[in-house]
Parts: sequence; C-alpha cells; structure tokens
Amino acid sequence: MYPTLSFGKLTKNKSNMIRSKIIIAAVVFGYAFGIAQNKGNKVNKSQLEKVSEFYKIVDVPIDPNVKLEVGGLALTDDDKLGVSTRRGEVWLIDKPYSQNPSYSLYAKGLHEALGLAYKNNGFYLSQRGEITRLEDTNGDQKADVYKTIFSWPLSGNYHDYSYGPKFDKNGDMIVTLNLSWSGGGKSLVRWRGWMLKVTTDGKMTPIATGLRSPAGFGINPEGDYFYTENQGDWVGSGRMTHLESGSFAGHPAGLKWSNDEKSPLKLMPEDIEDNSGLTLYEYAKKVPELKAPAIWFPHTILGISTSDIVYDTSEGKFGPFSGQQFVGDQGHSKIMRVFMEKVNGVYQGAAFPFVEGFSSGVLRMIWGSDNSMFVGMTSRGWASTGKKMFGLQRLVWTGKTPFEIKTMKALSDGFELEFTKPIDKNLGGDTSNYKMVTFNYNYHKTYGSPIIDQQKAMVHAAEVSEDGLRVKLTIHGMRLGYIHQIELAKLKSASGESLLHNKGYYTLNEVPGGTLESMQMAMEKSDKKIEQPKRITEMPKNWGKGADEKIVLGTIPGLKYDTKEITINKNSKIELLFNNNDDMIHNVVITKQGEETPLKVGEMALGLGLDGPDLNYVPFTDLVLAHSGTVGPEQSETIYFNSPSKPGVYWIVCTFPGHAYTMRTKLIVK
Amino acid sequence: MKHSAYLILTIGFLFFYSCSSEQTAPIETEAEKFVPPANYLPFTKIDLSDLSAFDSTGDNWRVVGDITSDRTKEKTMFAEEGTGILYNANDQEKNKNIQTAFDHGDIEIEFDVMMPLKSNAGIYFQGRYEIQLLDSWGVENPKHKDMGGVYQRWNSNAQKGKEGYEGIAPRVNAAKAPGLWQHFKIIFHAPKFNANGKKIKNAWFEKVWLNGVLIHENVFLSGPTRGGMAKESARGKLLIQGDHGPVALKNIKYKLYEDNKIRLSNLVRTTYDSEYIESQNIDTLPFISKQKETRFSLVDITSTKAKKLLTYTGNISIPKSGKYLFEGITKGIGEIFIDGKKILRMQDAKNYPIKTVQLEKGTFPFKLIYRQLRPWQRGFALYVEGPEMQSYSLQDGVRKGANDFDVLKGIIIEPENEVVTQRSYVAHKGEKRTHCISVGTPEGIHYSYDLATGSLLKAWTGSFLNTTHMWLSRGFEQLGEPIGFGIALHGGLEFAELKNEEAVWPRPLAENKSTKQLGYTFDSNGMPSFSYQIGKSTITNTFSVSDNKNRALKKSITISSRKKLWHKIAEGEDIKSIENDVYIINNESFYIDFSGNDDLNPIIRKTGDKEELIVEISRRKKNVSYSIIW
Repeated sequence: MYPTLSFGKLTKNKSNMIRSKIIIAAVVFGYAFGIAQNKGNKVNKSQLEKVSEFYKIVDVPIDPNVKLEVGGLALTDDDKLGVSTRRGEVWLIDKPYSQNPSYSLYAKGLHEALGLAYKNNGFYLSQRGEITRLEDTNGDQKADVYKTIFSWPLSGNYHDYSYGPKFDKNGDMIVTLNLSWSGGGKSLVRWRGWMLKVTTDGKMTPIATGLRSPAGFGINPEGDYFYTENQGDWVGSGRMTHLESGSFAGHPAGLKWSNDEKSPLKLMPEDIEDNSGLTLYEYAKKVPELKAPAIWFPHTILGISTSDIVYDTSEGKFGPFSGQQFVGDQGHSKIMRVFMEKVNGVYQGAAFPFVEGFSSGVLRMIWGSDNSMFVGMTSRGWASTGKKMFGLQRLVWTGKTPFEIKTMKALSDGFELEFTKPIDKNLGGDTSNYKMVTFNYNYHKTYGSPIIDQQKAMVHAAEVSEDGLRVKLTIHGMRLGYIHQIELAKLKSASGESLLHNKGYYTLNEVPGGTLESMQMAMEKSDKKIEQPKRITEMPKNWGKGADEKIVLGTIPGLKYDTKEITINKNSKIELLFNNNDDMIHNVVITKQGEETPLKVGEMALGLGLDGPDLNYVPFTDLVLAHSGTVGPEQSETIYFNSPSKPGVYWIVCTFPGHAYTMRTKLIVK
Repeated sequence: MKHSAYLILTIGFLFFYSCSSEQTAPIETEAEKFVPPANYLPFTKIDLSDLSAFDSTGDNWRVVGDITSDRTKEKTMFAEEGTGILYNANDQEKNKNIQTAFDHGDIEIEFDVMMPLKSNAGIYFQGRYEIQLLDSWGVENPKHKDMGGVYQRWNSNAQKGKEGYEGIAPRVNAAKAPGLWQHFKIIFHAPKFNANGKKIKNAWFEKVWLNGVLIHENVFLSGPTRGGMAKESARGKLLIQGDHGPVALKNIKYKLYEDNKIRLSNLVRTTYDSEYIESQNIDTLPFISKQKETRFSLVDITSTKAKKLLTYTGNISIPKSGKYLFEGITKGIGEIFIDGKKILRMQDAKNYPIKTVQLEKGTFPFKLIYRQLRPWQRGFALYVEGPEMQSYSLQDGVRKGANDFDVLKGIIIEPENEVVTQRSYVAHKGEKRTHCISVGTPEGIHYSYDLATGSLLKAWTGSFLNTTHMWLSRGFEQLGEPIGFGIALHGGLEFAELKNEEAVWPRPLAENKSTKQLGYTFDSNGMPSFSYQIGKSTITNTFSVSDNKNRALKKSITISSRKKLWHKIAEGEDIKSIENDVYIINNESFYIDFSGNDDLNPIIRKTGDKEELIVEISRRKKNVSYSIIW
C-alpha cells in the first residue's frame, strides 16, 4: 500500500494550516503518477505512429515563395482556403485538400493579421490596430477595398496582438486583445486585455476582461463564448474560460478600463489582491465577476501556450468525438481534446491528449469541407516543438476508431467514464487499475504557478456497465475547484487494445445535485481536549499481569474489517490491537447488542457534524461500550476494555462517516 | 534628426541581441516615446559673422544673411545682406577657393549646403581629399562625381580616358532638389606617418551622411583626389572649391580629434557570490576569484545568462584635462568610479545614462561595479568622448556602432512592377505612430501615411522598406523603416475647423479620437486612396509619383464637407514663398508646389518658434492638390 498523509477540508478555518502540511506531504510523498513537471515535450515516435493509425497529419504543400506564418484560416464559398498571415498577407489556396494546391495573393500589407473570417463574399480579419473588411469589387481575385470596421488604440508594444474575428450567432464579430508586455502584462491602452463584440457596421460593445494572452477563442454551437489563456503572470497554467458579458477572467490589467461608460463591470485593478493565497476557484467565490476556468490544461502536460478552439459538429465524420472540442497548443505543436458538460449551469469538463507532432506552432484550426481539420501554424519568435517556422497541415480521420476515454462526467461522488470501445470487464472492474490525483494552482500576480495541494484520491468502486462502454467510479477525496487527473495505464479494451491516451484531467467546479458526496479523505482535529473515558489506550494499572485475551483486528479493502466475527469470554480483560492497513481513516467502536445498533451508532456519529473529528466520530451514548480513536492509514491503536458480563452478540463497528454500513464485525461474548 | 532615430534603433537591436525568445521567463522591452539626451560633446561652430575663420581669398566669397536659389535657373542664387551664411558668388572671373584658417588632422564636421541648379563645388579635407558637392538631383545611378561622392584620383600619365581611378560613388543618391539646404555629417581621419615621415596609414572617411543617409562607410584613400594638394601630411586646412559654380554653406560645426585615448591599467577583476548582488558594501564581501586582467571587457560575462556580481579595479589615465562624456548602456547596473568619486551610474537601458564630467589629466584609481541582477538582463557597453578624443568604446574588442542597425541589410521589401503597401508602426520625429501604412512605388518614390491622424508622415526615394524590426523573431519594435532618403512632414492633423486665421492648430486627441478611420481602396493601377472622417467632413488622400528624375510626390485631396475647413500644408522653422506658388519649407528642407489651385491662397503664419503654411478651404471646394519636391 502506498502511504499518504491526507487531510480533508471539513473545517475551513484550518485550511491554511492544513495547506502547509499538505505541501510538505506532497513534497515528501509526492511521487504521484505523472504529475511531476516534465521539462519540454519530447515527441515519442512510436506514440506518433500509433496515433497516426487513427488520425493522420497530412502536409498542405506551401508555395516556396510564401512565408505562410498562419494568423487566420477561413474557407470561402467556393471551398478555397483563405489564410491570413503574420506577414500581413491573405492568400487564397485553391485545391487545399490536394497535393497540388495553387496559391494566389488576395491581400497584403496588413499589420500582423491574427485571424480571418469569410462572410458576404469577402473577408474580415483582425490586424494589430483594427478589424478590416476586405472585398474584391472588380473580380480580379485581389482585394481592392480595405475598409476599417473598427479601430482601437495601440501602445507601440510588440505584445499588442489582436485576434479574431469569429462570428457569433447574431452575425456580430468577437475579437480578443492581448495585453502589452512591460515587465509584466499591462493594459497600456484602452481595451487591451478585453474581449470585444463588434458589428459589421462598426459598433463596439465590450464583453469581458481579465484576459492576458487570448490567442484562441471560440463560440460554441449554443452561442456561448470561450477563450483560451496562456500561462503567465496571474495565470498558473493554460486554461479555457467561459465568458459572459461582465466576466473577469483573472488578469487585473484590463480592469483599468472598467470605468469606461460602456464597460459591463465595475471591478477595478486594486480590487484584486496580488497574493491572496487562494486558488482562482476560491477567489471566485469572493468576487462574483471572476470566472473560474471551465477547463485547465496542466502546464507542460497539456501544452504550454493554448490556442484555437474548434467544435466537432461533424456528427461522426471525424471519429467518435462528435460534440466535443479540439484545442490547439502553439508551444508544443499539438492538439488536445476537450469533453465539456454543464453541471448546475456551469461549464466544466475533461481535457485529454489528442494528436501531437505538428510541424510548427499550432495557432489556428478550422474544418475543411471534407471533415478534415486544417491546422495553421507559426513559431516565429515563439519557439515550438515542431521546428518549422510556419506550417499548414490537415488532420484526417482514417476511419478507424481509436480506443480512448470518450467522455468523463462528474457525479456527486465520483466520475463516469465512457469509452469508445467496450472495455475488458475484469480489468475495468478492478479499482486498482484507476489512479486519481487532485491538485490546483495558485491565483497570484507571479508568473505561472507550481502545482499545489496535490493529493491522492481513492477509487473505491468501479462499476462497469453491461455493454462495457461505461464505468462508474466511486471516488473518495474529490474536491471542488480542483483538477482531477485520472490515469488508467493498464486498462484494455475487450479486444485487448491499450488506451491510446490513458490520462485525463477533469476540472471540477460543480457536482450534480450541488453537494459533493465524495467521502473526504481525512480530517483535522482541533486543539480542544475532550474527555472520552470509554477510550482506554493504556493498560489499566489494576490489570496486574495483563489482559486475559488479546485480539487483533485489521482491515480489508472495501470498507471492511478483516474478520466477520470474533469470540471472547464474558467478564474478561480484553486487549484489542487494531491495525488499519487501509488507506482511509477508521476506528473501532464496541457496541451493545442489537441488529440495528451498529447502524444507529453510525448515524449518531454522522450527526456529530463539525465536532466529529475531535470526538473521533464516537457519539456520547450508552450504546457505545468502548472505542478507539480515529486511526490513520498504516497506523494502529491498542485499546483495553472489559468484556460484558451478559453473553450474546455484540458489535465492533467503524463509525467514520459512511463506513458503518459495511464495516462491522460480530463480537460474540460467551 | 535621423541620428536620434538610429539611437532608438540601436537600443532596439541591443535588446534583441541580449534577449532570447524564452517561453517562460519574461523578457523586458519597452516601446517608448522618450528622446535620449545628447550623447556627444558640443561642437565648435564656425562663426560666420565675417570671414575671419578663413584665410583671405577672392571676393567671390562673402558672408550673407539669407540666400535662395531658383531651382529652374542654372547656377542662380539671390543673397540678402546679413551674416550667418558663407556664400560663393562664383562667376568666370571670380573663382577662388576658400580654406579654413585652422588646419586639421582627424575631424568630425557637419554643415548645411545649398546647391543651385547644375552647380558644382567640393569640400577638400586637408585640402586633399574631396567630397563632391554637385547638383545631382534625379540621378538614378550616382557616381563618384555626384553629390557626396568621394571624388576620383587622377593619374595624368595613364592612358587617355583611364586617368581617373578610385572614385567612390555614394551608396545611394541622397541629393535633394537644387535650391534646398542639404545636410552633411562627415567623420574623416588623416593619414598617419611614422617618425621618418613615411606614411603608415591611409586617410579614410569613417562615415559620411548626406541628408541623414549613410552614404559612405570606411572608405580608404590611397592618396589625394583629383585637384587636391599632392603631398600628403598629418594636417591640412579644410578647403571649399570655388571655381565651378555658386554655392552656399551655413551651420558649419566641427570637432578636431587627436590620438587621445583613455588607458586602463593594472586591472583586477574580482568576482563575488551573486547572492550578495544587492550589497552596497562590496569591499567587505568575500570574493570567489580575483584575477589580473590585461583587457577591460565584460563580454564573457554578459554572454552568459546568470546573476553576476563583479568589480574591475585598476588605474585610469586621462590624456588631457577637459570635459568627458560617458555613455553607458546596460540591462543590469553598472557604477563607474574615478578617483573614488562615482561618475556614472548605468541602470537598465531605459535610463540611458549619459554623464559629462570634468576630468584632469593624470592617472587615478578606477573602479567598475557590475551587477547582472537577473540572468537574462545582459549587456554592457561603455563609450567615452573627450577633449579632442572621438567617442569610442572603452571595452577592449568592442567597437562602438558594431551593432548599429543598417537599414540596407535585413528583411527588405521592394516594389518591382507594382505598388506595394505595408502597415506597420512608423517612427516620426521621435514618436512611434501605431496605425501607419507605407506605400512603395516602382518609380522609387515612397511614402508613409498615418491612418489614424490622416496625415502624410514621410516621403523618400531609394529602396522601399526595411521590415527587420517587424519580422525578425517577435519583431520587438514592429517598425517599418524607410530605406533611402527623404523628408518628414509635419504629421499632425491636416484639417481643422478654425475660428479664424489666428486660431491655434489643434493637436490630435489621444486614442486616435480626432478622426474616424475609414480605410482605403485601390484603383486599377494599384494606387491606394485613404479616407477618414474628421468632424462631419470626409477627406480622401491619394498620392501619385513622378518619375525619379524630377522627384515629386503629388498629393490629391478630395473633401466632402458642409463646413469651411483649414488645411495645414506644411510646418517648419522657416517657410518662404517664391514665385509661381512654390514654397520652401525649412527644415526639413523641401518644396511645396501649390500651383494649380487657383482659388486657394495659402498663408504663412508664425506659431511660437515655428511657421505654418495653411490654407482656407471653402465648403464648396472639393479638391486640393500639390506636389512635395525634395
């Protein structure tokens, strides 16, 4: 068994003390599976080959005279691929699905275009200083109208990147504006760090702020806005956040302009503490405008600079992930997959690795008309794993279904995983094949954040569905506001395949029903000294030579003691050694007779509420004859008591909340 | 002046060299509007209240107060009484040269010169080495005999037609139209001789700038150019040719340089644990290493990314008493002590420390404390200029200007058969304009326009645009840089509703709120028209270019307005009206040809220390056009 020191959060006012212990614990015991930050992302060749059996990366040949540093992608009505570039050009690629595409220059001279949309026979794009409308009025395949739709101020700082637009369901455009960089993210001029909505006739409405480097954003089929963020100051790791009018995503710089008469929020930069010591989730409970991310992409594991979002609306033509999302990463030249759900009205979900090995830094993705995905790339100035300076490729589904975790849904006491193929039921039902760890990031002014507060969670039950496609995991130690890593290294499909990717990361903001019912892993005692005379842990002095009988009790997995019954003599001095071999906290409570007694005592223990830990979860009742304290995992305690004078069936029960149903042993007194 | 622009670009380039594109460590850079203080010691101005600075000469030379030249009439100048301008009214009879009373060895000199149409003169360094002064306006492929060229040498014994040799053409033709003031800056080095009088090093032009454009760099001269005095020596008088046509010069200023250098000796480098990097009591710290150094150089330290704390101690020998100007550039902190006194503190390139101190001749204790506070904040440069001592880098092995941005190298876009446009940030008069577009034409006449203020910023000829600072790595500056030479326009708002003709011209509002940008369209020739709204008026600017022989940028403005508007054509220190609706704008020194707008009457008005050329446009007037000639 693996040792853990685990402390729960049942008493909030102990949080800080707990946290420092946890950090020490995490450091000492933190050989958690796979969370250790791997520097750099070396692409594993054999892994690339495995994935390519299902999703192939195909080059789109690039005209050798063209520096196709992709900033934006859009398909025209006649299925040409429009590409805007950081060199300020817009290229039209005819036959982009073939190996002989032809390139023609449609527009040029723009200032670092970082997006592209096609509408009404022309293009819209964001360049550094404005949204531009491009039209070809004389049919010579070249734009002759470069109309300024909406212009915003610029500081002259190189970091003032402007992204988009994408059209929302009302036919309006959304753009996002990067912060300037001057010893930290700053909003040097108005609207840097904001998401704006702009109509095609140039009316602007500011939507949300708190953005730092919003290189990618998307509008889901329901019309909701999401954007991806890059690790940096105030941003512990890459993430995706749902934005609504008035949302604040976390970086305070943009709040400088909240006093603009059009601003939908009044929060000010000084309202946000530099070092609150809290996670973003916790801080968001204090500040209603602050939006906890829907998805966290753990830094260096799922990328280092999150970029574009595309939604799989192919209805099965791009493989088994219909309805899900794909998110690019510029620094690691890869694409991740996101399963999103809405729980209690809040977006959250799981992120999985998907495809890596793209030729340059993935910035933009769009669907081709053949349900392949165009992937546009650039890495000038922002080095990526893929070594080319720029690139354009297609991701094509081969038609074969990979064995992957398809979805991961939150339950109030666990997760339900769905797979793309039926799993091996034996392996699937074995809880030891599932490992879960929870962790978080700091929300502070500092650049990035280490992983904090990392703890193991316990998979206590794994219930495989009849058709083998789903497994319901009961988890102890889920925590709201934390990222939950699931790892299923040994799981195989019914046909013997290993999972193509065996890790997933779920961001848990809410649980169905609103109340977390996952057993907590531990509790913390107060400094209160409480007298519990029925707990005798030292041999009473008047026992002279010692106990008459010595019994030993242990535990087995699944909330059970290791013996179904123990027999002792009446009126005897009993020494009971309790060995807790489990990874949870337990106790032993000797109760009076009665079939219902263990349960009754267990329920009274539940009713102790916040006092539970201090009382070792043992209620004051004469149903209790003797008891131990709470015993941690791999610990033991010896108690001494006198057996009753009346023979009969008594009980030993564990009264830790929820255990009484199954964790009991008959104590037969003869 | 262009030089401050180069300084800003140097900083930008140094930033690039000392930063790497790190994914997680923050890189500091700043796009700023600050104007660095003068990083050079003052020049000596030649007093032109009379000719006493010169040896006496023929009376074709005299001092005048003002001068103009009709650019349509050959070799014609009109002078006005007064002082401040050196004028050669050359004709067939009166044709003497003039030379300075002082003689010079190494010299750095700047002056303004006006060449009338088809005139010819020359400036001979030491009376031997000529930089040609010629009206070379419109010459496409300049030769050594064109404006700014290093004139050829002459071997009269050679085969006929092959007597001339070693003439060096200017890198680009930076000559302005006749009748305009043109600016030269030249750094010349005299030949060197050993004790026996044998020449051991040739004379050379280190740098020659014409109108802000570097036209020569490191040009060595094997001997006097044609017409120069035959025997070479270490010194000579500066001579201006007077026999080939009229010419005028003003604002002549110079510095003489001897072989003075500051010497550092007995150098010891002491390295300390960077844990104490903030310590103010370095002397009390235990050191990691102490070693003698024969060279003063921090290149090895600044090339590694690590926190560093070290000192250099030793002696500094000052060759001559006088004012010394120290210029330090670093991203960490550097402190220089001479004789126990702190004379310079350099801290991060932002502050661009420049200090002028009075130093006495002699040898004194010297100390440098260098702190590389953050591993990636690297870079150290220290320049000094002194009395008769040209500015140079104190670090051994580091040449001043080695990293200067060269506008002829890098990522360059060039129009071939069609017009090319490129949006970028553009530097204009020390400021970074952010919503700009540059247009390059195959005719070789290009311009930059600010879309946010609706104003023409620059016009130039030569190559089009250097975009290295946009497209090399992240492009920290995002500047599009004109290559070739040109002029800057006033760059402010071009239209305003003035109450009356004395009303102050409005400045652009912050956040580009003065105008609503409408964008631009292209005609069938690929020429753009730029439109914007100001108040309730809509203005459209279209530009056309002449051929390069008679260089002009024509500006055509279409106005749609219900109100009476004023248009500011130009602004300068001094604006003159000459006949036929032509105006000379000084400085920058160019012409505005306003002919063809019959019902419009521009006025010149004085505003503070400037003059403005403005014109009232009635609300029915729809078109205004004029040409800018330089």
